[in-house]
Amino acid sequence: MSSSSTTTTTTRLLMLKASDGVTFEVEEAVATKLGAINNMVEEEGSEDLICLPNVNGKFLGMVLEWCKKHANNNTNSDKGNDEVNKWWDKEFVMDLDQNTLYHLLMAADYLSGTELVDLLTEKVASMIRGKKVEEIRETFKIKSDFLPGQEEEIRKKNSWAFE
Amino acid sequence: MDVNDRLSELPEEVIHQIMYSLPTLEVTRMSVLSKGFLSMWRSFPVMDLDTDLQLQTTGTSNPKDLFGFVVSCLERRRTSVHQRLRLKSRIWAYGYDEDQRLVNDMFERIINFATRNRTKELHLHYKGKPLYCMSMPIKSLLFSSKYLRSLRLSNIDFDGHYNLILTCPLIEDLKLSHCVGLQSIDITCAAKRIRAVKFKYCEPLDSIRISSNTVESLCWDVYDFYGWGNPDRVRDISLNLPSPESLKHLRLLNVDITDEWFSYHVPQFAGLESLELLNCGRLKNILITGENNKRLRKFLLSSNTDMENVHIAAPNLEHLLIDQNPNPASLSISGCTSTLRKLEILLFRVTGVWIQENLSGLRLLEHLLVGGFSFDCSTDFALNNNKPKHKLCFDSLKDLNLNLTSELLSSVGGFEAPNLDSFNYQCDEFNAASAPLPIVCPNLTNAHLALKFDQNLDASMLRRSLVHLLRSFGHCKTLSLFVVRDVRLISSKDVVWLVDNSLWLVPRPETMSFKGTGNMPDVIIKFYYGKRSSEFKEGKDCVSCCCSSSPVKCWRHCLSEVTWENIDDWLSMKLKNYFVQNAINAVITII
Repeated sequence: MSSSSTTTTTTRLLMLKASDGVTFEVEEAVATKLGAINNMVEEEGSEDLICLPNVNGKFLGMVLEWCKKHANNNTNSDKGNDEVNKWWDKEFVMDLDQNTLYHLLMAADYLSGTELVDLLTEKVASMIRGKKVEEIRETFKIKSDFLPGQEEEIRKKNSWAFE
Repeated sequence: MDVNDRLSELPEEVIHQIMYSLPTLEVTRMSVLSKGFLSMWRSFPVMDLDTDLQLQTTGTSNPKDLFGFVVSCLERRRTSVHQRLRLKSRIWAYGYDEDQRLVNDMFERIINFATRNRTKELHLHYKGKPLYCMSMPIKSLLFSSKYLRSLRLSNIDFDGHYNLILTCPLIEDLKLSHCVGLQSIDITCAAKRIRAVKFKYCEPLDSIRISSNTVESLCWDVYDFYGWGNPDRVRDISLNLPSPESLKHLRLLNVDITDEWFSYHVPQFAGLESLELLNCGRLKNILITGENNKRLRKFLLSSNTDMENVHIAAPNLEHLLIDQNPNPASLSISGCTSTLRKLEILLFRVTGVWIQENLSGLRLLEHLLVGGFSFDCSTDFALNNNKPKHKLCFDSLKDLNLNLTSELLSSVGGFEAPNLDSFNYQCDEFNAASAPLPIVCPNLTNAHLALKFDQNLDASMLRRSLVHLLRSFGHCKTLSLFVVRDVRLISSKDVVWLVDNSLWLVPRPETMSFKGTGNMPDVIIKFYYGKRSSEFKEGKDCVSCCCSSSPVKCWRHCLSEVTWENIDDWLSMKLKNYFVQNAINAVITII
């Protein structure tokens, strides 16, 4: 892979400040992978410090890690790189625990990182696919709050889905 | 630790997106997880009415049930804006007026619902009978919808000779399959986002006009009712693209375009990347030059009628398939040899001169398939017999598929492919002169040979030719050999013959297996080797004659144990005798 030093244009650096005060210095091209930041940069222009009071530093760091990987991809996009990124994405979501997955999804959704949201929702979908109701409940620790008989009634209407 | 229910805490639009990538079955299951999920399921702007799923579980295939199911789904969601609405059903309502009415009523409700609820994607995949008859107001509403982005319909009866005029401003793809009563299609400039258009087996569609300048992909497949050679199958069509610059992919199957159409339109498709002309029976002459079709990367041509001149010189062509029977009077592909990566030529009669002219200089070629080639030596021998033959060199070739006679191979001086990895060879007339193949491929790992022998070849000749042939593949990791012989079913008596012959070909195997026919299990024989037997003095007894010329000693010298399974007693005896005679030291075990 060619290194970024070959590009002669000076890249602008942005400071992103998370809710817990942790700051990240990132290239503009990386941060603008997130729709929300792209909007801010386009609107205000001059501001280099962006406060993100809704995102914790730990998860912002992960989101930016993903952005970095995918921002490179835009500059030299070929098939081989695509494959590498797919593999990287797979690794990225492979061992996420549900707590991290939740916070990442919330952060990605808040920052309008559409592609990252796609990746994460697909991960959640893969945890649901092929499972029965009880198994889904168990996987995500969901408690049913239906009144007695209510659930059976709904099941009856679409009995084909519940065997 | 994951003790909390994080899923339920996600905002609705995120849950909806998760649902969006799940099949209907799981989405429906999510409705009973909790009250929160029930409400999110109700507001989910996607309706996937897959009655095939229901059929699998409930077994009801009654059109009344289908109707009831669809109507109740629509009722429940009557207020929401819809992203996607799909119906997939195979339920047949055949022969009863009542059922016909139900099916029509159901479709009408769906389409009305879609237009009223600003549905963006409408896919009606109804495979049952009768066809849905589209009534007039519904047609005009649908094809001018301001919200539709994707429209796919199958098994719709447009009722008569309908002229479809598409004006949806946001539509991106239109796909119609197995629709009847459709005469013409006009995609107007108003459809200014349309990118992909596909028509499959729509009758009696014979006129397509695309005025929008955004179409990138056009597929038109016509069903061939008549079969080949029937003059009735040829019909006049009209295919018009006034602003063709955006077109990247064009596929025409059984569409009777003419030479005039081709020579007028194709040069105008400056952005064309892939072109498929399949069985376009009227087309006789094809000329593709570098001037206009610079971007063309893939060209597939098949035809069962006589073509006259086919001349392809697209400068960036990477994949070319020509499937021609009978042959064009003249075929030239020499203009695009420097960029070709994949070349498939089937059923084509060639001469040595043609091969030299068209198949040399293919430096980037990675895949080559040559099938059903026949060699026209009548003209060649007279003209060309005395000329020195040059080997054909393919520097980048990885995958080679040949289905032709060795006569043809040797007549061109052979193939050289230093990077060949996989080789597939099929020969229908393998004879003594066929081996070895004039192919040089030092890095080959997989070879697959399927041979049919000349009837006149006797067993010893056959063995000799085979050994000769296989010698060229000694460096491969896997070699599959399929031998087709016009013989009766091989009886168990022949197994010994088969084992013996196979061992001549592969002198020190680890495992040998024979496919069982019908319910018979596979016969597996395993070989274990020890030290070279000291009892065998060189030059003594039968052993010396077996592999004296070979640097590797064969199994006879060092077989220590042989086991087999799935062989009946009688055959076991025979095999045992064979091994005892040939390898004195071996311990024979039967499983």
